[in-house]
Amino acid sequence: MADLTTAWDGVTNTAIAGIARQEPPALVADDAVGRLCANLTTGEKAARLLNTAGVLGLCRLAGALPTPDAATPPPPAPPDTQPPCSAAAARLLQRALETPPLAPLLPEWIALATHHGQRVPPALLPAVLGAITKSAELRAAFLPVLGARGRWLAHLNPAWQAGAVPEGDAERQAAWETGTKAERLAALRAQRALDPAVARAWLEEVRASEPLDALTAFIEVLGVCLGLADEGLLEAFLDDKRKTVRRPAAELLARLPDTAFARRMTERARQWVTVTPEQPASLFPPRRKQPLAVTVTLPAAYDPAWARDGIEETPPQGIGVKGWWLQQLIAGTLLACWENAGQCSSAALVTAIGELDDRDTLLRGWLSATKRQRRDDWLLALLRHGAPARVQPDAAAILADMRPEARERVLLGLCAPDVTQGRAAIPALLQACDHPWSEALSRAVIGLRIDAGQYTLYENLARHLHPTCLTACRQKWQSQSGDISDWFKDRILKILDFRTEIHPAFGENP
Amino acid sequence: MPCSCAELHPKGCWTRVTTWTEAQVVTLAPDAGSLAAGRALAAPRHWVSLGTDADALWGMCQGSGKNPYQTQIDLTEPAFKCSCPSRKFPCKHALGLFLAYVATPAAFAATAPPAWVVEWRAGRARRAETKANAAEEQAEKPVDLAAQAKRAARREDNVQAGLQELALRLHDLLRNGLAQPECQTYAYWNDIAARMVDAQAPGLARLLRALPGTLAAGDDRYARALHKVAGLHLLIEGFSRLDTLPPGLREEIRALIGWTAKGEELLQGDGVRDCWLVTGRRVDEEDRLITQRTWLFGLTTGQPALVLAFAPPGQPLDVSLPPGLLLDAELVYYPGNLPLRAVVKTRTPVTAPTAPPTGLPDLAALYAAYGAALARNPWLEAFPAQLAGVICYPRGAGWVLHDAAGAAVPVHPRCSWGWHLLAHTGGHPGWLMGEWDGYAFLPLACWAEGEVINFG
Repeated sequence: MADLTTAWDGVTNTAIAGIARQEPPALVADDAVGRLCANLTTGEKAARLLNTAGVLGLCRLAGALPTPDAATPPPPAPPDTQPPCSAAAARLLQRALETPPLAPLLPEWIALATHHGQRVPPALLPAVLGAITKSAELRAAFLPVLGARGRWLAHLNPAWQAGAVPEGDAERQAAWETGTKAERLAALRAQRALDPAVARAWLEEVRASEPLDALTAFIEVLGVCLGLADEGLLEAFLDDKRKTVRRPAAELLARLPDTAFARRMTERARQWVTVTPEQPASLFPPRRKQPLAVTVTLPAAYDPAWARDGIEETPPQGIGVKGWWLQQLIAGTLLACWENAGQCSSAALVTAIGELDDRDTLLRGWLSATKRQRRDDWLLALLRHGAPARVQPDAAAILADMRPEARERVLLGLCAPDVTQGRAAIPALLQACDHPWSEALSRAVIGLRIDAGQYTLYENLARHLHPTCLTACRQKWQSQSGDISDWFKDRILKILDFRTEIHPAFGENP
Repeated sequence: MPCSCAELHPKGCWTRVTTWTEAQVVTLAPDAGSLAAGRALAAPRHWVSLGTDADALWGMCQGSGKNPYQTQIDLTEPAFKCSCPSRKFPCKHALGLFLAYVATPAAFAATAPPAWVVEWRAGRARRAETKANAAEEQAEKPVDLAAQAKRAARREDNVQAGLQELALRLHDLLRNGLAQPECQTYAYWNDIAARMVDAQAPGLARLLRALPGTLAAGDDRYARALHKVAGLHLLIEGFSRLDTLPPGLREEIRALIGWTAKGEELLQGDGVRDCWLVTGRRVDEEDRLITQRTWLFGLTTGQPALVLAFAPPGQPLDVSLPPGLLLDAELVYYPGNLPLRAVVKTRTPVTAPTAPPTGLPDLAALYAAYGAALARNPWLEAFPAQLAGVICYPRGAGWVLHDAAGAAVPVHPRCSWGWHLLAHTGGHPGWLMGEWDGYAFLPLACWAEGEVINFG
C-alpha cells in the first residue's frame, strides 16, 4: 500500500458518500497492511468496506507519530518572591469569591495579604482574575497580591485583560494615543496617579482637538492628585466657550486654595456677604458687646463675566434667581475667607446666620464649598448647627469624598455626648464610610440604637467594625431578636464570623 | 452511614494515613456547595469539641438544631458519619471537620473516643463481618448449574441476534453514506442503542449513544465516526468467530459487548499487591448515571488500573480513593488482553508521595505506548498516560500539549480546566496524567507544589 493516509481518506470519502454512490477505492496489496485488506473478501460490499476501515483506522492510530509543533509555548512564569498565603487564608478568599454576601469583604483580605507580603495561591488565580475584570478598584487592589505567577497568567488570557491598564510607560502612552475612549481614560487615570505632570501634559496637547464628551471625562481625571500646578490648565479650560467644559474645570479650581479663581470668587462674594467679628463691650466710646454678624444682600444683576467661572444664570426650579447666583458665588469662595473675616470658627458662623432671611442661600453655598474643599470641620458644623433638612441629604455624599480620618472626625464629633442636633444623620453617614473603622469609631457606634429595618446599616457595621469589636458585636446581635429576620441575622453573623477568622488566618491576633 | 466500599475490604488491615492534604480532602466533596459550606466550618471555633485517636477524628458542631451534631471520620478509609439530617455525603460538617484537621491538627485533643464513636466503629466492624459471612454462605450455597447454563445460553442467542441486526443497520448506513441527514440525529442512534439493550448487549448500546456526539463536531468528524463504526463492526466480526480467538481478546470482546465479571467473584481470586498511587480521577454523567473513573498506577509493576464507581445523580460516589493518595493495596483486574479495570481487594493507605511519579519522556513515547496497547486491545477507548516534561498551554480557541522534543498534540475539548492547570504549572514542563484517545489528550491531574492536583 503506497500511503496509509491516502488509503484511509479514500475509504472515508466512500463512507461519507455511501457505496451506493461511490465505489470503494482499490487498495494495492504490496505490504502487510495492503495484503491484510486484500484478504477481506468475505461478506457484502458494505461489510468489506467496514472491515477495511477498521484495519486502516487502527493502523493509522497505532502507527502515528507526533507532529512537530511550529509554535513555541509561552515563556514560563518567573519565580515568585512572595510566599503564598496560608491554607486558612486561601479558604477564606475562596469563600469570599464564591459567596456574594461575603464579596464586599475582599478588600479586607487583600489589605491583610498586602500587609504581610503574601500572594494568592495558584488554585485561586483563575477565580481572582475572573473577578477583577468586573471592577477596576478590585483589579488595582489585587494587583500586588497576584504574585509573579498571577501577573504572568493574566497576560495569557485575553478575557482577563478587559479593563487592564498597561503597566509600562510606553504601553500606557500608546494606549492614550491610539486606544478607545475607555482605554484612554484608564491610561490617563493611571498616568495621573503615577506622574501628574505627564498626565497634565497629555491633556494639554489634546485640549483643542478632543471631542466634547471625551474632554469632559478627561478633565475630571485631573481631580486625582489635584495641585496648584494644574491651575494654568484649568484656567485655560475656563476660556472654552462650551459650558460643559467650563463647569468641571471651575469645580476643580474651587478645590484649590490661593488661586486667581479663588481670589476672583472671594472678591465677588464679599460684595454681597459681610461678616463682622464679635466686638467686646467698651466704655469709651460707650458700646455694648456686639455679637458676630453676617449680613447678606442679593446681587441685583447677573454679571456676564461670572459665566467664565462656571456660574450659571438660570436657576434650577424652586430656587430664586438672585439667591442662585449668590449661592454659586459662595460655593466658589474659600471657606477660610469667612473664618478670617469673622475671626471665628465654622460653628460660630453657622450659628450666627440662624435668623437671616437668606439663611438657606448661605447654607447651600457653604455646603457646596464644603463638598469641594472637603472640610470636615465645616461639615460637622453644618450638621450640628445648620438646618438638618437642608444639610443631611447631601452630607453622606460629601463625607464619602473625604479621607478616612476626616470622615471619622465628623462622625466622632456627632457621637459626642453634648450633641443635640445632627445625630439623626449618623446612619446615613456611616453608609458612606467604606473604610475600615478605627477602634474609637467602632466603640462609639456599636452602642447606637439601630432602628428596625435599617438592614444595610447592620451590614455596614458587620463589614467595617474594628476587629477588636467583632466579638462584642456578635454577642449583642446574637441575643437580639425581633428587629431583624432570622435569615438576615444569619447573614450578618456570617460576615462577622468571616472577619473574625481572617486575622488569625494571617497570623494576627486582633 | 454505610460506606459504599465497605464490602470490598476485609477488615483488619488498615492503618492510618500519616498525612492528609487539603487537596485530597477537597476531592472528597460531593459538590461545590458542600465544599463551600465545609470551608466555612473549617475553623476550630465552630466546634464545641474536637478529638482524635489513632484511626478517627470526631467533633461536635453546633448547627441549627438544638443539640450539636456529632460528626466523625474513620481515617482508615476514609469513611464519614454525621448526625445531621443532610443527604449529602460526606456532609458539610464532615468536610469541615476534615479541613479543620488538615489545617490545625493541634486543635484536636488526643483522647479516648466518646461512646458514639466507639458505637459506630463497632457497628461497622459488625457489618463487615456479617457481609463476609454472607458472602461465604453464598459461596457455599448449591448453585443450580443447569438453570445458570440455560440462562447463559439464552443470552448468547439474544446477543447473537442483536449483533446480526446491528450489522445490517451498519451496512445500510454505509450504503447510504455517513453524510445522510438522518444518521446525524440522536434519535437514529438511540433507536439502535435501545435495540441493543433489548438484545442484552448494554456495552454496544453505550458505544452507539456516543456516536451522534462524534458526528456533531470537529473537522474530522466523519473520519472519527467511521473509525468508531468500523470498530463496532470489528466487534461483530470478532464475536462471530470468538472460538478462534485467544482467551484474552475473547474477554475484551465480551466485556465490550456487555458481559461484565462480577466484582465479588473477582475478589475471590488473587490480585496484584503493590504500592498504588491514585493518579487521576474523572467524573461525568452518562445516560443519567454518574460515572467516576479513578486511575491508579502501580509503582513497582508500572501498571495502570482503572476503578469505576457508579451512582445515580445526587447520590454519593465512592470517596475512598482521592487522587494523590498512595496505597499499599491488592487490586484484582478484570480479565482481558489489556487489563485495566480493577477492583480493590485490600488496601492500606500509606501516605502522600513526596516526589512526582514517573512518566513517559515525550509524546513519541506516548504514541509508541498507545500503539502497543492498541495491539493488545484494538477497541481501547482511553489510554491512561503519565507524561513527564510536558507543557499544556492555550492556542487559538483550544489548548495543546507540548513536549521537550518540540512535538504537540491537541488537548481534548472537554478539558474546561486549562486555566487552573496553567495556574498550577506556571507553564513549566512537568508531570501530567491524563487519558489519550489517539486524537486528543485529556489532562486529569498534574504535579505542582509538591502534590498531585486533580482537575477532572
